[in-house]
Amino acid sequence: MELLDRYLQAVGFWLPQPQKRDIIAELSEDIRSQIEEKESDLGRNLDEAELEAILKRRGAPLLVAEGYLPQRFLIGPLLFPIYRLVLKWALLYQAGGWFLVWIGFALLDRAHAYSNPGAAVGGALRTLWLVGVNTFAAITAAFALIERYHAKSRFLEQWNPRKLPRLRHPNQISRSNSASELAWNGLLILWWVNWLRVAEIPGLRVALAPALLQSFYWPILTLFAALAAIACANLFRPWWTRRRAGIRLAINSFGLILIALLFMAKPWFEVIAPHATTTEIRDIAQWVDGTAAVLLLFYAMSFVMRGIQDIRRVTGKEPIRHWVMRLPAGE
Amino acid sequence: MNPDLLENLRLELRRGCLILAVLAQLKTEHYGYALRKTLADRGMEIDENTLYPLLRRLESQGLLVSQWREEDKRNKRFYRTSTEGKQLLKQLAAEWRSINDSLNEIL
Repeated sequence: MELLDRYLQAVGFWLPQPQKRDIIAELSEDIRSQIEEKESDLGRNLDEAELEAILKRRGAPLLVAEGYLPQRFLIGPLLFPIYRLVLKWALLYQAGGWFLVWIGFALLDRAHAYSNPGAAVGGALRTLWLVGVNTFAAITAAFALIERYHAKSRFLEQWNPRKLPRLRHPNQISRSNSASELAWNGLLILWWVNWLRVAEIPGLRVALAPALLQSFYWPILTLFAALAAIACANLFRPWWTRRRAGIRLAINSFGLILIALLFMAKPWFEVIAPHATTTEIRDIAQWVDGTAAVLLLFYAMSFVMRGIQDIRRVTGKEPIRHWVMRLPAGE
Repeated sequence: MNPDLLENLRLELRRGCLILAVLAQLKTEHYGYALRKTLADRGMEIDENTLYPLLRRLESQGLLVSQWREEDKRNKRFYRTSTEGKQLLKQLAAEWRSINDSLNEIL
């Protein structure tokens, strides 16, 4: 019976201390009754293999003990869908944003990236991993706390059917999105034509590079104006038609070509700082260019996503409803 | 048909009935192993890993009472339905009959 005692000991390991003796005594009694019955059927003692078969049928010690343990979870089934959604969004935004920043800097600091590509990629992955782990830990801890204390709240009982989100057709355009797009593009136009001055730091002036202005002034102004015009149309007639989707597809394609050309026409800014050293000026220029590169990559990603949705609308298909597509497309 | 699916649904269907069967059977005192055998003989097979935790839960809810006693030179834990358990059993049995009638009509 050594095997039985070992089995009982293994089950007992997982049991809560106050009930351990009692549960083990009862379990032992039950298994012994089963053994006795089998022995009486066979008319002899059970051999090791037969006892082993009985224990195997009972289940692994942890599985047996689990039945006696209270159900516990860090994040329960009620909160889990919300937790998963928040985690997915946070990781996607953090990793996505960080990835774009990294790409931006890698493009800007090509000399370093090419001279030591292994270290550059290794460092990038290490940071990405740390960002991911920290986000995961923070969100999990927050939800575990909510799980622990939400049972006392009755927030799910206080819902109101009238406050449910309105039904939305995939071709309906959000007016608030159109309004903010219009405002943003309006500001960009004012900045581009130099009617809107960005506050300057004393002793430091960052201006658009003359070569860039010479080649790209009108194309970029046209793009901003076209984006503002389509946002304005969407604001007053908030419904996608094939024609309007086609127009936006053309504007976005133009935008993508411009971004590609811009990446070949650096530097974009010139830094004028009479009291700064050459190294300081170079660092500032790199930082400004890096920020602009990230912004342009965000724009490019958004243009691509919008382009996919517009192609679907133009060809009479429903736009993709998944949030991974809708969010960067501004829908 | 997927046999696992059938088995899972079958278990799910029986799970709710087990409490009723246990409370009813324990109107007469039994120890765990004997209870399992009696239920199996009457067509309600119940896995030991389900039965014992269930007995403990019902006892902690005051629906069963138990005591350790020696029988056949071995210490065994005997269970029986408490007064409260018997009252609840009546209500559950009425509910069961009502569900059964409705289901019979639907099926």
